Amino acid sequence: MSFRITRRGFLQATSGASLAIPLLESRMTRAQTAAVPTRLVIYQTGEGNLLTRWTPPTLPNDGLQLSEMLQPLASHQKKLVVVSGTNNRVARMHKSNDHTAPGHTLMTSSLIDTTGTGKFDASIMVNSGALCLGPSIDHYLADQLKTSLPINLAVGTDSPPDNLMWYKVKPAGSTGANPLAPMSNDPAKTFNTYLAGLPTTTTPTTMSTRADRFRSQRGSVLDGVWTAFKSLNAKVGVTDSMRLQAHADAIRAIELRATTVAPVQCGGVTQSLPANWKVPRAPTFPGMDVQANLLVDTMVSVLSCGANRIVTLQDGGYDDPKFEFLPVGPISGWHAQVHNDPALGLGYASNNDNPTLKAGFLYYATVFNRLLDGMDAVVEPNGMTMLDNSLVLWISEFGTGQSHSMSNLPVVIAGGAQGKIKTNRYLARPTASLGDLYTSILNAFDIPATSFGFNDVAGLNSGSGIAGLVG
Amino acid sequence: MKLKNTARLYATLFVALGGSTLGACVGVVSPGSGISQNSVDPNQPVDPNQPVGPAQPPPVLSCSATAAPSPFAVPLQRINDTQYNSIIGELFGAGVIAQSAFPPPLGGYPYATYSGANPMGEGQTQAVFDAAESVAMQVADIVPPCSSVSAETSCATTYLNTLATRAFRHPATTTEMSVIVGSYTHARPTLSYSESVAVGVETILQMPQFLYVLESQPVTATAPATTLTGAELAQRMALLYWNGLPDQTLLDAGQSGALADPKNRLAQAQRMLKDPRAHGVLTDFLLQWMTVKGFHADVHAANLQAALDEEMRRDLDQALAADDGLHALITSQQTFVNSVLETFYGLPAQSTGPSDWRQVNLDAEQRVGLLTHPLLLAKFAHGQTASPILRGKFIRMMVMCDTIAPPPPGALAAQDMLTPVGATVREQSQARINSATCGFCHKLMDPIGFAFSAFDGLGKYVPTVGGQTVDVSGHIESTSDLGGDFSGVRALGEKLAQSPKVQACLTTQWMRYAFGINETSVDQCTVQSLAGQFGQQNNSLTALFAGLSGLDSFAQRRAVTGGAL
Repeated sequence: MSFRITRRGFLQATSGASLAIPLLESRMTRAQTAAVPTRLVIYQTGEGNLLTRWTPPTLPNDGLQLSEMLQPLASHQKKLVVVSGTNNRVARMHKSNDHTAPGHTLMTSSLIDTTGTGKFDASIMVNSGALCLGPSIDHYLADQLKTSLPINLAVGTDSPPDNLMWYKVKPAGSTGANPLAPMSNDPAKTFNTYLAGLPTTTTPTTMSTRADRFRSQRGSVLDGVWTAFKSLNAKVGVTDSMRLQAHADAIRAIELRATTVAPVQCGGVTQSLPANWKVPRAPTFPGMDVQANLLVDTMVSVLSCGANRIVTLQDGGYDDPKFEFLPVGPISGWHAQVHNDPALGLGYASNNDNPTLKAGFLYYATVFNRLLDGMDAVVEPNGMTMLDNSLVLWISEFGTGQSHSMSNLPVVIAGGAQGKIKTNRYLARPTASLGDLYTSILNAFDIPATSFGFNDVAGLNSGSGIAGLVG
Repeated sequence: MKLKNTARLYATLFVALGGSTLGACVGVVSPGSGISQNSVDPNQPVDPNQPVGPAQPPPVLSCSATAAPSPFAVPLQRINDTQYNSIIGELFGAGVIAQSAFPPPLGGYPYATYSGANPMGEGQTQAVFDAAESVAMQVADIVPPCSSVSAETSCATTYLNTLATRAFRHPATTTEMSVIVGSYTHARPTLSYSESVAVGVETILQMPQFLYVLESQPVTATAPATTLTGAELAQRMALLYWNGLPDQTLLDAGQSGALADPKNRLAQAQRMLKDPRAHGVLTDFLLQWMTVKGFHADVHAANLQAALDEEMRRDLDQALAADDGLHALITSQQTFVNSVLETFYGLPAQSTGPSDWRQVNLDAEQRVGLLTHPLLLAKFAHGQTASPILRGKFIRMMVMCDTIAPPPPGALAAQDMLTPVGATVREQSQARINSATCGFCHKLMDPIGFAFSAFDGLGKYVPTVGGQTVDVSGHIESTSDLGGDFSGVRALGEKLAQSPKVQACLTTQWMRYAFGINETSVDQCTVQSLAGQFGQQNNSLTALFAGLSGLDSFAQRRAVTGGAL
């Protein structure tokens, strides 16, 4: 099933083409050197995934065959590493609420300081207001790279200034941690802060090769093909029509990627918000899809224009988002459905049978895919795409949301961090820990770490990251 | 705090639910049949890891004496990768190379031909786009020149119309041509003539008329079936038997109306099956039926794997050529060996190397057609350990067409509780069969699998262990003609090869493959009609394959109802 997050639909939703097209056609890193920085981008979603449908089959030589839940990422398969088995063991020592412990430790792999001494007290019973001792991976990496604070963005959550549901690191002045980056859920504010006012330049077009000439016709070809689908669609039965509609939607979705010309300058980036659109608010967060798209596009611009090299997007809509923009929406009781709450009378033996959950989790994959599309459309001075030059992580605080299991987090890594990570692989790593994952990420940035986060208890870090991930 | 309480509540509920699903073993009994039918939608993929859904009445699959064969409800099919590549070759010649257009089909469906296994999401759409552009850039070099600039639009239209008519398997309509010529016209101001025509080709190769098998649609409640046109019949047959386009003979037969007559269709099908192009399809079907298509056993070394693949290919050729193909397929003692397989089978070394093949007869118990082919046996094993469960399940599901639901959650852990450490394989099985939770399904699988006890997990024949002859006695739990005790795989193979139930099953499998659908009760009369012909013609595979086209219902299409997620 595909969703109507197509170019056409998106442009309609944003009432004008000024957001997407000039923005994508005119990007480039501000620095004109061939040395391109490796970027870290993290996308977090809530409530885990449908692991049975998410986990790829095990193939020889770590071969990757995308699972059902990862199909939206199919066009980027060659740039992906899917990792199963990552276990957030720290969260189990953090005896707070079932949601806050996994959430607060997800980015930090650290425990809580309630002693006021900057030291972890293993005997503590933590309440949800406490802070993690030790920085999150994005803050830590920024510190190590001596760059500015990361940019933390949030979608579908109401209190982003607290930066609270997903990780809670020590604020400025505390021992052992950098200052805390503010978190924003407002695309306009983010845009204005980082991108407004960049100088405008024009994009020269070259038609010197046959490939260039065919590229210049892509929009026309795809428009024609789309018309052919539309006229045919009226003539077939309902089931067949759905199949054709999904295909036609996919044509619209690839059109943006296919027609994007490699940028040569960063500038002239504009943003327009849909008329009357407001930042989504609790309890139902209407317009989360537009919010996510705007934030994702802004992230790509921020990265390509060199405004920052570490950006995170946290989808905080884990509780009761309505997903009113999906064909299955509006959804009633997302959180309760994740728990297969008998009170809802859904009648599913397992979450795997619930098409609503499947649609919701697939939606998250399409958001991640939009991010990858945008990053892969930017060609950088070293000849690689910005995606190739980055490490992009998609993770969730649970493996299986139904049981609040943290023992098998769904981890997808995209881009090869400039060749540091061999892609198009599936790594089944049943003994991996969250600390191992972040250790490997640090290693991909040439930081010689052997552990990350809390390491005072055996088993939290292997000492060498996730086997075979980097190098 | 709200979250905290909610979380605790769910934690409790989860345990309660987990407990109840553990008890939900397998399937629903068809009254009196002794055969299980699971309750899932037959056209949905089977996920072996997925717990069994809530029990519902099994579908009743039968053909009443008075019912007439019915046409099939064929959902919209997309051409597959093989068809795409072969059609590109037919349209443009061997000089134009198509990069693979589609990612591999999704697993979990009975056959890769099921439409659900071939979705068109963004990844697939992107792949088709990339392939179309790559082909078009090559085609720009072979577009015939036009005599004058003023005639260019006319030249381009003629070329593209001829091409689209072949590619679409029907005469290109005005609407279709306006899209194609529109691409050409858009390109021409900036691109050369030949490149602009090639842009039109790029459009053709992404249009639904090319990518999908379009058939007549006017299906209503009052006219539930529609008769296919001659061009549509030619299209069905060419894609089915050749994975390609109709040749002139078939096009003419479609055009003249001859294909409306079942006798003519049968004759065309028989002609087409003699053509080398049919070989790929038939082999593909048999490999998928045997579930070994593309299967590589980790336990086999690379040179052994290569030899077994080639042996399988030769065995299939032999069966396809045999008068009694089903018999040859599942009972033949004959096979082919090279130097690698001589060692594997324990034969005297006569072959000079891996490329020197000779035909041999293996021991009657060692080689029972493909049933004891080492690839198949290694497929149904856990590493080097043979699995009587999986072997029995294969026979039950793929050769007898009975349905067995996937194991319930916790099934593996349950086994440890049933038997003490050190129990033999047969003792473990007996404990499963005696168990209220597990027995219902395992009595249908394990006793068939025991017939294969003389083969280890690699598929090697080991008839004695420690001087003792291995017990190969087995049993088929069934009210059909197959029910009863037997001993060894040969007895099993002979039993299966003579059984009308197996004839009907292979017929069913062929129809599943050909149309990418699971049979419904409506299709049962068609299955029985074709299975009857198959049996009467000495189980000839060619009779089965061609016979499908000779059915009245082949020329019709029934409404597809319902949607899928």
